[in-house]
Amino acid sequence: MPWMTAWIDLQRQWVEAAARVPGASNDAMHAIFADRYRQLFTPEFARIAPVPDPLRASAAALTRWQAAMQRFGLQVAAIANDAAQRLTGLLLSDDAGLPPVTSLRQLHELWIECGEAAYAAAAHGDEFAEAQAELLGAWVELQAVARGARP
Amino acid sequence: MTRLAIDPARAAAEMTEFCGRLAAAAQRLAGLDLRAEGCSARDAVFRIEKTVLWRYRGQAADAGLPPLVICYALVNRPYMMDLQPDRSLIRGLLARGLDVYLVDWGYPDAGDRGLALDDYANRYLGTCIDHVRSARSVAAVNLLGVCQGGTLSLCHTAQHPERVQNLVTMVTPVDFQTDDNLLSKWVRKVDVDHMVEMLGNVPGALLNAAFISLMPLRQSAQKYAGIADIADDPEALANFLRMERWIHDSPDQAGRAFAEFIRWFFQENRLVRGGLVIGGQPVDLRRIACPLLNIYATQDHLVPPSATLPLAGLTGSRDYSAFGFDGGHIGIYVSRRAQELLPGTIAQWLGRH
Repeated sequence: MPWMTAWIDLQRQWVEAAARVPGASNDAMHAIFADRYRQLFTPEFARIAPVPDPLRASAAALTRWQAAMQRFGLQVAAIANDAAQRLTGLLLSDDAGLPPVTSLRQLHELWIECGEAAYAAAAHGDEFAEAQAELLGAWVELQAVARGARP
Repeated sequence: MTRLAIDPARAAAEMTEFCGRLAAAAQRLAGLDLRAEGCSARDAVFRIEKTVLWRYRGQAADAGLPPLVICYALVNRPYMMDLQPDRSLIRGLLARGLDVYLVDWGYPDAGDRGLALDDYANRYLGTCIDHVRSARSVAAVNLLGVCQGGTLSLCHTAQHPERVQNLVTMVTPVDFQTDDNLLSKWVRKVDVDHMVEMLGNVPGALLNAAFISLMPLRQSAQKYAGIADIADDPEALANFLRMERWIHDSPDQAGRAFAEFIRWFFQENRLVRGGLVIGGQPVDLRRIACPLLNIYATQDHLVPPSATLPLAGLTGSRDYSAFGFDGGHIGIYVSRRAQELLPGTIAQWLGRH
Protein backbone atom coordinates (compact mmCIF):
# COMPACT_ATOMS: atom_id res chain seq x y z
CA MET A 1 0.00 0.00 0.00
CA PRO A 2 1.45 3.36 -0.94
CA TRP A 3 0.49 5.11 2.31
CA MET A 4 2.08 2.35 4.37
CA THR A 5 5.25 2.50 2.34
CA ALA A 6 5.34 6.21 2.92
CA TRP A 7 4.92 5.79 6.68
CA ILE A 8 7.59 3.14 6.83
CA ASP A 9 9.88 5.36 4.85
CA LEU A 10 9.21 8.21 7.27
CA GLN A 11 10.08 5.97 10.21
CA ARG A 12 13.26 4.90 8.51
CA GLN A 13 14.17 8.52 7.93
CA TRP A 14 13.39 9.32 11.60
CA VAL A 15 15.70 6.57 12.77
CA GLU A 16 18.45 7.67 10.41
CA ALA A 17 18.07 11.22 11.62
CA ALA A 18 17.92 10.20 15.28
CA ALA A 19 21.13 8.27 14.86
CA ARG A 20 22.86 11.59 14.15
CA VAL A 21 21.53 13.18 17.35
CA PRO A 22 24.04 11.88 19.92
CA GLY A 23 27.01 13.53 18.23
CA ALA A 24 25.18 16.59 17.03
CA SER A 25 25.44 20.12 18.33
CA ASN A 26 22.40 21.72 19.93
CA ASP A 27 21.57 23.56 16.73
CA ALA A 28 21.94 20.46 14.60
CA MET A 29 19.83 18.45 17.03
CA HIS A 30 17.17 21.14 16.89
CA ALA A 31 17.24 21.04 13.11
CA ILE A 32 16.91 17.27 12.99
CA PHE A 33 13.91 17.22 15.32
CA ALA A 34 12.28 20.20 13.65
CA ASP A 35 12.65 18.60 10.27
CA ARG A 36 10.93 15.43 11.47
CA TYR A 37 8.14 17.50 13.01
CA ARG A 38 7.67 19.33 9.75
CA GLN A 39 7.21 16.04 7.94
CA LEU A 40 4.62 14.83 10.39
CA PHE A 41 2.76 18.13 10.38
CA THR A 42 2.46 17.82 6.61
CA PRO A 43 -0.93 16.49 5.44
CA GLU A 44 -0.81 12.88 4.51
CA PHE A 45 -1.71 13.38 0.86
CA ALA A 46 1.36 15.51 0.40
CA ARG A 47 3.58 12.74 1.67
CA ILE A 48 1.88 9.89 -0.11
CA ALA A 49 1.75 11.64 -3.47
CA PRO A 50 5.04 13.49 -3.66
CA VAL A 51 5.63 15.81 -6.56
CA PRO A 52 7.02 13.79 -9.46
CA ASP A 53 10.70 14.46 -10.15
CA PRO A 54 10.24 16.15 -13.52
CA LEU A 55 7.63 18.47 -12.06
CA ARG A 56 9.79 19.14 -9.02
CA ALA A 57 12.68 20.09 -11.31
CA SER A 58 10.39 22.30 -13.36
CA ALA A 59 9.05 23.97 -10.27
CA ALA A 60 12.54 24.51 -8.89
CA ALA A 61 13.66 26.00 -12.19
CA LEU A 62 10.61 28.21 -12.34
CA THR A 63 11.08 29.36 -8.76
CA ARG A 64 14.70 30.21 -9.45
CA TRP A 65 13.65 32.09 -12.57
CA GLN A 66 11.03 34.06 -10.70
CA ALA A 67 13.46 34.98 -7.96
CA ALA A 68 16.06 35.97 -10.52
CA MET A 69 13.52 38.07 -12.41
CA GLN A 70 12.56 39.79 -9.20
CA ARG A 71 16.18 40.55 -8.33
CA PHE A 72 16.99 41.79 -11.81
CA GLY A 73 13.69 43.65 -11.95
CA LEU A 74 14.73 45.66 -8.92
CA GLN A 75 17.84 46.73 -10.80
CA VAL A 76 15.85 47.64 -13.88
CA ALA A 77 13.31 49.59 -11.84
CA ALA A 78 16.06 51.54 -10.11
CA ILE A 79 17.73 52.35 -13.42
CA ALA A 80 14.44 53.42 -14.97
CA ASN A 81 13.76 55.65 -11.98
CA ASP A 82 17.23 57.17 -12.16
CA ALA A 83 16.87 57.72 -15.91
CA ALA A 84 13.50 59.41 -15.49
CA GLN A 85 14.93 61.63 -12.76
CA ARG A 86 17.80 62.63 -15.00
CA LEU A 87 15.41 63.43 -17.84
CA THR A 88 12.94 65.42 -15.78
CA GLY A 89 15.86 67.17 -14.12
CA LEU A 90 17.13 68.25 -17.52
CA LEU A 91 13.69 69.28 -18.72
CA LEU A 92 13.01 71.30 -15.59
CA SER A 93 16.47 72.80 -15.41
CA ASP A 94 16.80 76.52 -14.76
CA ASP A 95 20.01 76.61 -16.74
CA ALA A 96 19.39 79.34 -19.30
CA GLY A 97 22.22 77.95 -21.41
CA LEU A 98 20.29 74.81 -22.26
CA PRO A 99 18.23 75.07 -25.45
CA PRO A 100 14.48 74.42 -25.35
CA VAL A 101 13.16 71.05 -26.49
CA THR A 102 10.81 71.86 -29.33
CA SER A 103 10.22 68.51 -31.04
CA LEU A 104 9.37 64.95 -30.15
CA ARG A 105 12.58 63.87 -31.82
CA GLN A 106 14.66 66.07 -29.54
CA LEU A 107 12.77 64.70 -26.57
CA HIS A 108 13.43 61.16 -27.79
CA GLU A 109 17.15 61.87 -28.09
CA LEU A 110 17.25 63.24 -24.55
CA TRP A 111 15.29 60.24 -23.34
CA ILE A 112 17.88 57.93 -24.91
CA GLU A 113 20.78 59.95 -23.54
CA CYS A 114 19.46 59.91 -19.99
CA GLY A 115 18.54 56.25 -20.20
CA GLU A 116 21.98 55.22 -21.37
CA ALA A 117 23.66 57.36 -18.73
CA ALA A 118 21.60 55.81 -15.94
CA TYR A 119 22.09 52.33 -17.35
CA ALA A 120 25.85 52.72 -17.66
CA ALA A 121 26.07 53.97 -14.09
CA ALA A 122 24.33 50.86 -12.78
CA ALA A 123 25.48 48.24 -15.26
CA HIS A 124 29.10 48.56 -14.14
CA GLY A 125 28.16 47.66 -10.59
CA ASP A 126 28.57 44.25 -8.97
CA GLU A 127 24.93 43.85 -8.04
CA PHE A 128 23.79 44.38 -11.62
CA ALA A 129 26.32 41.88 -12.93
CA GLU A 130 25.40 39.32 -10.29
CA ALA A 131 21.67 39.76 -10.81
CA GLN A 132 22.08 39.45 -14.54
CA ALA A 133 24.30 36.38 -14.24
CA GLU A 134 21.75 34.74 -11.97
CA LEU A 135 19.00 35.59 -14.44
CA LEU A 136 21.04 33.98 -17.18
CA GLY A 137 21.71 30.91 -15.05
CA ALA A 138 18.01 30.61 -14.24
CA TRP A 139 17.10 31.01 -17.91
CA VAL A 140 19.59 28.32 -18.87
CA GLU A 141 18.13 25.98 -16.27
CA LEU A 142 14.62 26.64 -17.48
CA GLN A 143 15.64 25.94 -21.07
CA ALA A 144 17.26 22.69 -20.01
CA VAL A 145 14.15 21.57 -18.15
CA ALA A 146 11.93 22.54 -21.07
CA ARG A 147 14.08 20.47 -23.43
CA GLY A 148 14.17 17.56 -21.02
CA ALA A 149 17.92 17.88 -20.64
CA ARG A 150 17.53 17.96 -16.86
CA PRO A 151 14.81 15.74 -15.31
CA MET B 1 10.22 76.65 -15.69
CA THR B 2 10.68 73.95 -18.24
CA ARG B 3 12.71 73.46 -21.40
CA LEU B 4 9.85 71.49 -22.83
CA ALA B 5 8.35 73.70 -25.52
CA ILE B 6 6.63 71.29 -27.88
CA ASP B 7 3.58 72.67 -29.56
CA PRO B 8 0.83 69.98 -29.54
CA ALA B 9 -0.16 70.60 -33.13
CA ARG B 10 3.45 70.41 -34.24
CA ALA B 11 3.94 67.23 -32.23
CA ALA B 12 0.96 65.63 -33.94
CA ALA B 13 2.30 66.58 -37.34
CA GLU B 14 5.76 65.32 -36.43
CA MET B 15 4.36 62.00 -35.27
CA THR B 16 2.30 61.60 -38.45
CA GLU B 17 5.30 62.32 -40.61
CA PHE B 18 7.54 60.02 -38.59
CA CYS B 19 5.10 57.11 -38.81
CA GLY B 20 4.69 57.66 -42.54
CA ARG B 21 8.44 57.63 -43.11
CA LEU B 22 8.87 54.58 -40.90
CA ALA B 23 6.19 52.70 -42.82
CA ALA B 24 7.76 53.67 -46.13
CA ALA B 25 11.19 52.57 -44.91
CA ALA B 26 9.81 49.25 -43.68
CA GLN B 27 8.15 48.64 -47.04
CA ARG B 28 11.38 49.36 -48.90
CA LEU B 29 13.42 47.22 -46.54
CA ALA B 30 11.05 44.31 -47.08
CA GLY B 31 11.73 44.50 -50.80
CA LEU B 32 15.51 44.25 -50.47
CA ASP B 33 17.35 41.00 -51.02
CA LEU B 34 20.79 40.97 -49.45
CA ARG B 35 21.52 37.32 -49.01
CA ALA B 36 25.06 37.33 -50.41
CA GLU B 37 27.83 36.91 -47.85
CA GLY B 38 30.41 39.43 -48.91
CA CYS B 39 30.89 41.10 -52.24
CA SER B 40 34.32 40.17 -53.59
CA ALA B 41 35.12 37.22 -55.83
CA ARG B 42 36.72 34.40 -53.92
CA ASP B 43 37.32 30.67 -54.02
CA ALA B 44 37.14 28.04 -51.32
CA VAL B 45 40.67 26.61 -51.49
CA PHE B 46 40.66 24.38 -48.44
CA ARG B 47 38.19 22.86 -46.02
CA ILE B 48 38.57 21.13 -42.71
CA GLU B 49 35.29 20.03 -41.19
CA LYS B 50 33.12 23.17 -41.11
CA THR B 51 36.01 25.58 -41.49
CA VAL B 52 36.55 26.98 -44.97
CA LEU B 53 39.62 28.82 -46.16
CA TRP B 54 38.73 31.41 -48.80
CA ARG B 55 41.19 32.98 -51.18
CA TYR B 56 40.14 36.28 -52.71
CA ARG B 57 40.80 36.90 -56.35
CA GLY B 58 43.43 39.55 -56.94
CA GLN B 59 42.38 42.97 -58.13
CA ALA B 60 45.76 44.61 -58.61
CA ALA B 61 49.39 43.90 -59.38
CA ASP B 62 50.91 41.58 -56.80
CA ALA B 63 52.68 43.56 -54.10
CA GLY B 64 55.08 40.67 -53.63
CA LEU B 65 54.28 40.25 -49.95
CA PRO B 66 53.67 36.97 -48.14
CA PRO B 67 50.02 35.94 -48.28
CA LEU B 68 47.81 37.53 -45.67
CA VAL B 69 45.58 35.18 -43.67
CA ILE B 70 42.65 36.81 -41.90
CA CYS B 71 41.49 35.07 -38.74
CA TYR B 72 38.08 36.35 -37.73
CA ALA B 73 36.20 35.96 -34.45
CA LEU B 74 34.05 32.97 -33.65
CA VAL B 75 31.12 35.07 -32.48
CA ASN B 76 30.10 36.71 -35.74
CA ARG B 77 30.37 36.03 -39.42
CA PRO B 78 33.47 37.25 -41.24
CA TYR B 79 31.69 38.90 -44.17
CA MET B 80 31.83 42.09 -42.15
CA MET B 81 35.31 42.36 -43.66
CA ASP B 82 33.79 42.46 -47.14
CA LEU B 83 30.31 43.84 -46.52
CA GLN B 84 29.78 45.79 -49.73
CA PRO B 85 32.02 47.18 -52.47
CA ASP B 86 32.55 50.56 -50.88
CA ARG B 87 32.85 49.14 -47.36
CA SER B 88 35.28 46.30 -47.61
CA LEU B 89 38.59 46.09 -45.83
CA ILE B 90 39.35 43.05 -47.96
CA ARG B 91 38.80 44.99 -51.19
CA GLY B 92 41.08 47.70 -49.90
CA LEU B 93 43.80 45.14 -49.23
CA LEU B 94 43.29 43.48 -52.62
CA ALA B 95 43.52 46.86 -54.32
CA ARG B 96 46.97 47.22 -52.79
CA GLY B 97 48.15 43.97 -54.28
CA LEU B 98 47.85 41.75 -51.24
CA ASP B 99 47.10 38.04 -51.56
CA VAL B 100 44.22 37.68 -49.11
CA TYR B 101 42.92 34.55 -47.44
CA LEU B 102 40.10 34.37 -44.91
CA VAL B 103 39.42 31.66 -42.33
CA ASP B 104 35.67 31.10 -42.08
CA TRP B 105 34.71 28.97 -39.07
CA GLY B 106 31.21 28.23 -40.34
CA TYR B 107 28.22 27.51 -38.13
CA PRO B 108 28.89 24.97 -35.34
CA ASP B 109 26.07 22.54 -34.69
CA ALA B 110 25.25 20.08 -31.92
CA GLY B 111 27.97 17.71 -33.08
CA ASP B 112 30.58 20.40 -32.41
CA ARG B 113 29.85 20.97 -28.73
CA GLY B 114 33.02 19.13 -27.77
CA LEU B 115 35.32 21.25 -29.92
CA ALA B 116 37.99 22.84 -27.78
CA LEU B 117 39.78 26.14 -28.13
CA ASP B 118 42.73 24.06 -29.28
CA ASP B 119 40.70 22.94 -32.28
CA TYR B 120 40.16 26.52 -33.34
CA ALA B 121 43.43 28.15 -32.35
CA ASN B 122 45.64 25.33 -33.55
CA ARG B 123 44.00 22.58 -35.54
CA TYR B 124 41.78 24.67 -37.82
CA LEU B 125 43.83 27.85 -37.96
CA GLY B 126 47.08 25.92 -38.07
CA THR B 127 45.93 23.67 -40.88
CA CYS B 128 44.70 26.64 -42.87
CA ILE B 129 48.00 28.45 -42.41
CA ASP B 130 49.91 25.32 -43.37
CA HIS B 131 47.81 25.01 -46.50
CA VAL B 132 48.69 28.58 -47.49
CA ARG B 133 52.37 28.06 -46.71
CA SER B 134 52.40 24.97 -48.85
CA ALA B 135 50.28 26.32 -51.70
CA ARG B 136 52.19 29.59 -51.91
CA SER B 137 55.59 28.06 -51.14
CA VAL B 138 56.31 30.40 -48.27
CA ALA B 139 57.82 29.61 -44.91
CA ALA B 140 55.50 31.93 -43.05
CA VAL B 141 52.39 33.99 -43.66
CA ASN B 142 51.25 37.40 -42.56
CA LEU B 143 48.44 36.94 -40.08
CA LEU B 144 45.64 39.44 -39.42
CA GLY B 145 43.56 38.56 -36.38
CA VAL B 146 40.30 40.39 -35.85
CA CYS B 147 38.64 40.84 -32.45
CA GLN B 148 38.44 37.41 -30.79
CA GLY B 149 40.24 36.11 -33.88
CA GLY B 150 43.11 38.38 -32.86
CA THR B 151 43.27 36.68 -29.49
CA LEU B 152 43.34 33.31 -31.22
CA SER B 153 46.02 34.62 -33.56
CA LEU B 154 48.15 35.74 -30.63
CA CYS B 155 47.84 32.30 -29.08
CA HIS B 156 48.68 30.60 -32.36
CA THR B 157 51.66 32.83 -33.04
CA ALA B 158 52.97 32.31 -29.51
CA GLN B 159 52.78 28.56 -29.96
CA HIS B 160 53.96 28.47 -33.58
CA PRO B 161 56.12 31.55 -34.14
CA GLU B 162 57.77 30.01 -37.18
CA ARG B 163 54.51 30.13 -39.13
CA VAL B 164 53.93 33.88 -38.85
CA GLN B 165 56.14 36.50 -40.46
CA ASN B 166 54.16 39.54 -39.36
CA LEU B 167 51.19 39.76 -37.06
CA VAL B 168 48.45 42.37 -37.24
CA THR B 169 45.84 42.43 -34.50
CA MET B 170 42.70 44.45 -34.90
CA VAL B 171 40.34 45.42 -32.05
CA THR B 172 41.79 42.49 -30.15
CA PRO B 173 41.20 41.95 -26.45
CA VAL B 174 44.30 41.06 -24.47
CA ASP B 175 43.67 42.28 -20.93
CA PHE B 176 40.14 41.08 -20.26
CA GLN B 177 39.70 42.68 -16.87
CA THR B 178 40.10 46.41 -17.27
CA ASP B 179 37.76 48.73 -15.38
CA ASP B 180 35.92 50.13 -18.37
CA ASN B 181 35.18 46.73 -19.93
CA LEU B 182 31.49 46.26 -19.20
CA LEU B 183 31.17 42.99 -21.05
CA SER B 184 33.99 41.57 -18.97
CA LYS B 185 32.35 42.67 -15.72
CA TRP B 186 29.21 40.80 -16.67
CA VAL B 187 30.89 37.70 -18.02
CA ARG B 188 33.04 37.24 -14.95
CA LYS B 189 29.91 36.49 -12.91
CA VAL B 190 28.52 33.88 -15.28
CA ASP B 191 28.62 30.19 -14.41
CA VAL B 192 29.76 29.22 -17.87
CA ASP B 193 30.33 25.55 -17.10
CA HIS B 194 26.74 25.19 -15.93
CA MET B 195 25.59 27.02 -19.01
CA VAL B 196 27.42 24.74 -21.39
CA GLU B 197 26.48 21.64 -19.43
CA MET B 198 22.82 22.59 -19.75
CA LEU B 199 22.76 23.99 -23.27
CA GLY B 200 25.53 22.19 -25.12
CA ASN B 201 26.35 24.87 -27.64
CA VAL B 202 25.68 28.45 -26.65
CA PRO B 203 23.05 30.11 -28.85
CA GLY B 204 24.37 32.93 -30.95
CA ALA B 205 21.19 34.87 -30.27
CA LEU B 206 22.04 34.84 -26.58
CA LEU B 207 25.43 36.42 -27.21
CA ASN B 208 23.82 38.90 -29.52
CA ALA B 209 21.38 39.91 -26.82
CA ALA B 210 24.31 40.46 -24.48
CA PHE B 211 26.13 42.67 -26.99
CA ILE B 212 23.02 44.73 -27.62
CA SER B 213 22.33 45.13 -23.93
CA LEU B 214 25.69 46.84 -23.45
CA MET B 215 23.96 49.95 -24.80
CA PRO B 216 20.34 48.88 -24.93
CA LEU B 217 18.68 52.13 -25.92
CA ARG B 218 21.18 53.23 -28.51
CA GLN B 219 21.15 49.80 -30.10
CA SER B 220 17.40 49.47 -30.22
CA ALA B 221 15.15 52.52 -29.83
CA GLN B 222 17.60 55.01 -31.25
CA LYS B 223 18.85 52.83 -34.07
CA TYR B 224 15.42 51.84 -35.31
CA ALA B 225 13.97 55.33 -34.99
CA GLY B 226 16.79 56.38 -37.27
CA ILE B 227 15.33 54.32 -40.10
CA ALA B 228 12.81 57.09 -40.65
CA ASP B 229 15.66 59.46 -41.50
CA ILE B 230 16.86 57.29 -44.36
CA ALA B 231 13.47 56.25 -45.73
CA ASP B 232 14.13 58.10 -49.00
CA ASP B 233 17.63 56.81 -49.46
CA PRO B 234 17.68 53.30 -50.97
CA GLU B 235 21.44 52.96 -50.61
CA ALA B 236 21.39 53.93 -46.95
CA LEU B 237 18.52 51.48 -46.35
CA ALA B 238 20.49 48.73 -48.05
CA ASN B 239 23.52 49.56 -45.89
CA PHE B 240 21.34 49.48 -42.81
CA LEU B 241 19.87 46.11 -43.69
CA ARG B 242 23.25 44.59 -44.52
CA MET B 243 24.48 45.68 -41.12
CA GLU B 244 21.39 44.39 -39.34
CA ARG B 245 21.70 41.08 -41.10
CA TRP B 246 25.32 40.78 -40.04
CA ILE B 247 24.58 41.77 -36.45
CA HIS B 248 21.92 39.11 -36.10
CA ASP B 249 23.78 36.45 -38.05
CA SER B 250 25.45 35.09 -34.93
CA PRO B 251 26.62 31.47 -35.10
CA ASP B 252 26.05 29.28 -32.09
CA GLN B 253 29.24 28.75 -30.14
CA ALA B 254 30.77 25.31 -29.68
CA GLY B 255 30.15 24.70 -25.98
CA ARG B 256 33.53 23.55 -24.76
CA ALA B 257 35.50 26.15 -26.69
CA PHE B 258 33.16 28.85 -25.46
CA ALA B 259 33.53 27.76 -21.85
CA GLU B 260 37.30 27.64 -22.17
CA PHE B 261 37.42 31.09 -23.72
CA ILE B 262 35.21 32.64 -21.06
CA ARG B 263 36.99 30.97 -18.17
CA TRP B 264 40.58 31.31 -19.28
CA PHE B 265 40.41 34.76 -20.82
CA PHE B 266 37.54 36.70 -19.23
CA GLN B 267 37.42 35.13 -15.80
CA GLU B 268 41.05 34.22 -15.21
CA ASN B 269 42.73 36.71 -17.56
CA ARG B 270 45.44 34.19 -18.30
CA LEU B 271 46.80 35.97 -21.35
CA VAL B 272 47.99 38.71 -19.01
CA ARG B 273 48.47 36.84 -15.75
CA GLY B 274 50.04 33.78 -17.34
CA GLY B 275 49.15 30.14 -17.00
CA LEU B 276 47.33 29.81 -20.30
CA VAL B 277 47.68 26.34 -21.76
CA ILE B 278 46.02 25.36 -25.02
CA GLY B 279 46.24 21.86 -26.40
CA GLY B 280 48.61 20.91 -23.62
CA GLN B 281 51.13 23.57 -24.64
CA PRO B 282 51.73 26.80 -22.75
CA VAL B 283 50.86 30.07 -24.44
CA ASP B 284 53.60 32.56 -23.68
CA LEU B 285 53.19 35.83 -25.54
CA ARG B 286 56.89 36.54 -25.04
CA ARG B 287 57.54 33.93 -27.72
CA ILE B 288 56.02 36.29 -30.29
CA ALA B 289 59.11 37.87 -31.79
CA CYS B 290 57.77 38.92 -35.18
CA PRO B 291 56.80 42.51 -36.03
CA LEU B 292 53.41 43.32 -34.60
CA LEU B 293 50.90 46.01 -35.53
CA ASN B 294 48.06 46.46 -33.05
CA ILE B 295 45.09 48.35 -34.48
CA TYR B 296 42.43 49.50 -32.05
CA ALA B 297 39.37 51.74 -32.06
CA THR B 298 39.43 54.66 -29.67
CA GLN B 299 35.65 54.57 -29.11
CA ASP B 300 35.35 50.79 -28.90
CA HIS B 301 32.75 49.76 -26.30
CA LEU B 302 33.31 46.03 -26.82
CA VAL B 303 37.10 45.99 -26.79
CA PRO B 304 38.09 49.27 -25.16
CA PRO B 305 41.62 50.54 -25.82
CA SER B 306 42.50 49.62 -22.25
CA ALA B 307 41.86 45.98 -23.14
CA THR B 308 44.12 45.89 -26.15
CA LEU B 309 46.96 48.35 -25.51
CA PRO B 310 48.64 46.26 -22.76
CA LEU B 311 49.78 43.98 -25.59
CA ALA B 312 52.71 46.36 -26.01
CA GLY B 313 54.44 45.04 -22.92
CA LEU B 314 53.52 41.40 -23.18
CA THR B 315 55.16 40.10 -26.33
CA GLY B 316 58.77 39.50 -27.21
CA SER B 317 58.48 41.60 -30.37
CA ARG B 318 61.02 44.39 -30.73
CA ASP B 319 58.96 45.87 -33.52
CA TYR B 320 55.61 46.68 -31.97
CA SER B 321 53.45 49.55 -33.07
CA ALA B 322 49.89 50.56 -32.31
CA PHE B 323 47.46 52.43 -34.52
CA GLY B 324 44.43 54.08 -32.96
CA PHE B 325 41.45 54.51 -35.26
CA ASP B 326 39.07 57.24 -34.17
CA GLY B 327 35.84 55.23 -34.16
CA GLY B 328 34.00 52.29 -32.67
CA HIS B 329 34.15 48.52 -32.87
CA ILE B 330 31.93 48.36 -35.94
CA GLY B 331 33.00 51.61 -37.57
CA ILE B 332 36.52 50.29 -37.85
CA TYR B 333 35.27 47.81 -40.45
CA VAL B 334 32.67 49.77 -42.35
CA SER B 335 33.00 53.51 -41.92
CA ARG B 336 34.18 55.54 -44.88
CA ARG B 337 37.16 56.80 -42.91
CA ALA B 338 38.15 53.23 -42.12
CA GLN B 339 38.15 52.41 -45.84
CA GLU B 340 40.42 55.36 -46.46
CA LEU B 341 42.80 54.65 -43.59
CA LEU B 342 43.05 51.01 -42.65
CA PRO B 343 43.88 49.07 -45.83
CA GLY B 344 46.63 51.55 -46.61
CA THR B 345 47.96 51.47 -43.06
CA ILE B 346 48.07 47.68 -43.04
CA ALA B 347 49.51 47.33 -46.53
CA GLN B 348 52.18 49.96 -45.94
CA TRP B 349 53.16 48.45 -42.62
CA LEU B 350 53.40 44.98 -44.13
CA GLY B 351 55.38 46.41 -47.06
CA ARG B 352 57.94 47.76 -44.63
CA HIS B 353 58.51 44.40 -42.97
